Amino acid sequence: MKQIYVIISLFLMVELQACMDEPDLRSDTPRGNFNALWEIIDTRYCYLSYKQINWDSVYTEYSHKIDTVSSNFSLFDVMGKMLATLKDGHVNLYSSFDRSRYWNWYTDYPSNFNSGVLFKPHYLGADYRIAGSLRYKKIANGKVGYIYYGSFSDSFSNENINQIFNSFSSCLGIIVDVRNNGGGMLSYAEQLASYFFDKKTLTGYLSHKTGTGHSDFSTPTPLYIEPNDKVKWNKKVMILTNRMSYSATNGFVNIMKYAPNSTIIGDQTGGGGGLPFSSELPNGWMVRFSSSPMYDADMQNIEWGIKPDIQVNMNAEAEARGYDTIIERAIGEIFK
Amino acid sequence: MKKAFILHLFIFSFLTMQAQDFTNERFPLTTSVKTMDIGNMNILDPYLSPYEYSGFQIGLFEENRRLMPSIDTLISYTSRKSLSFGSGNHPSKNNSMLMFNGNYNFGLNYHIRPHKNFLVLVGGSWDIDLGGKYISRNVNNPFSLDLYTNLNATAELFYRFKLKNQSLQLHYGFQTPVAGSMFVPMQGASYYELFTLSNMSNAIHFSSLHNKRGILQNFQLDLPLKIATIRLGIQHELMQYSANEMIFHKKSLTFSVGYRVDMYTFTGRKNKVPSNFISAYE
Repeated sequence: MKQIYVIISLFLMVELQACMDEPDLRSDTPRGNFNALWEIIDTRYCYLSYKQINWDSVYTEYSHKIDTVSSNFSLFDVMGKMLATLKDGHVNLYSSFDRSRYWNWYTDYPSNFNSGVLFKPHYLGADYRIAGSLRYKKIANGKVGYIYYGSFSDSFSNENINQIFNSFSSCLGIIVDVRNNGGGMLSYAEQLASYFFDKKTLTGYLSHKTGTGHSDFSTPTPLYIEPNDKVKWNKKVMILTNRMSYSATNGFVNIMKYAPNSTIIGDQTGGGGGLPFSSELPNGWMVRFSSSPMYDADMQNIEWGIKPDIQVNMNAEAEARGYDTIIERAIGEIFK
Repeated sequence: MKKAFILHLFIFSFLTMQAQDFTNERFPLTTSVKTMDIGNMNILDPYLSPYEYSGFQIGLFEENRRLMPSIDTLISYTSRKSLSFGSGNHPSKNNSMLMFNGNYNFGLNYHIRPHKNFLVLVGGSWDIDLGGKYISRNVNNPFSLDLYTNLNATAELFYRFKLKNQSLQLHYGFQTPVAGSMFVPMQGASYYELFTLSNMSNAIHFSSLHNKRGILQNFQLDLPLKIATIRLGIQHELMQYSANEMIFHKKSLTFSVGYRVDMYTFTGRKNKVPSNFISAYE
């Protein structure tokens, strides 16, 4: 019987010391929500150090405004403006009535894209084909294959690409237009890029925050692209970009920089090099923020976008005549 | 008539012989319990959200218990399987989390009988748990994988008593993790980096009392009715673990109802099915 008492006592000792101290959470008040948001960015946002943002000063600038908010709308606006100081398209505050956003990464620049021109008969026209989520057609008297891909959230298969490449087999080269493609799945970016490589190639690195400090990052993990073993394009490929080529599209363009026959043409991409994560506030609003920075193969940050090999803007006069000078330049490069 | 009498005599004498075999020898039974449970849960998973989600949980549970390796031993083994599913809400009630979980537990217990109506089991168990939590609106961190294995210390108390000529049994069970291993990625590490890029650094942790503490206790009553033995129970779980500067918890209180049967198992060449037992495969 004595043994039983000893065993039961041991169990009770374990139970008594069973609680770990969990962090105190902010209260669901305007001040509590503001502080919770500020702390999430302070401890988890990955570009404070890289962008040289003094986040304490931002707190000072916006904190006193919380004392005067009179509604959820005004609280949301103050917090949204605070987040806009990060100048990051991957940072948003979500409530049931609004989504804060920073869109200057493309609104401050030429659009370099006109869908009206794109659907002129000498480009996609009305008789283009759609394989998966890719629109394609032979242009320039059948000498150039043109593919438009509008979102890396939309899927496609090896068979889709195989059919497209077969129909372009007589072409001198192809154009992959990812202008106005705001991103989506990194896996689709890697899949699309894999058709243009002939060997495993280092294309960048990815790291993540390891602590609450602004410079606490993990050892970067190398990112390799493996060539697709079923479908391949060995001729010239022109990648068309503009400032709205963002996030996963930015990642795709970064990979394509290292493809053997590729040329990036158009405007600098919009950036969005940080893999976004989510967190929540006491009132249930969600915040999205960049959490894992991505780099190119030279360990250069790609948050601000990727410069094209050939910088070309759309010419307004040509546009008025129904011509896209970025596509025309790409055709010219293929004919070289 | 005479032939029929002889045939009846033959059949009954055979059955009597078989019955004698089963009364003279002692056979280890497998006690099998199946229950359904429902209750509430509270989950804190900082990988998904800093806030505790509260809601309901439902589950299925099966337990098989048997003395081993023979009737003369004082050691029994227990095999438990459970499946559970739950849904919880953010404190503001404007977002929800789904939870699912499967657990397998194998335990060995030493039997101590300090009194004829009182049985104490002490021992340990090994369990493996696979599950996950899901917040659909999260971006790149919508899912948190629960994967761990533990060695646990266990204790159980059984008390048999009579109430209005009914033989009832009360049971209290207690389990606490002692050592094991668990999957907890860093808060900023994406599953893309973990699984697609195979960077599992700082994701697998040794767990012991320094970073994982908890109790799983249940209180049950076995109630023999005319056609079945019903099991009614209450289960309480409190589990906390920490890794990578995050503290997780799960608290639940569930009520269960099910049934208990005692079975004898025939298996293998040594323990063939007697001829007066009929299998559905024959």
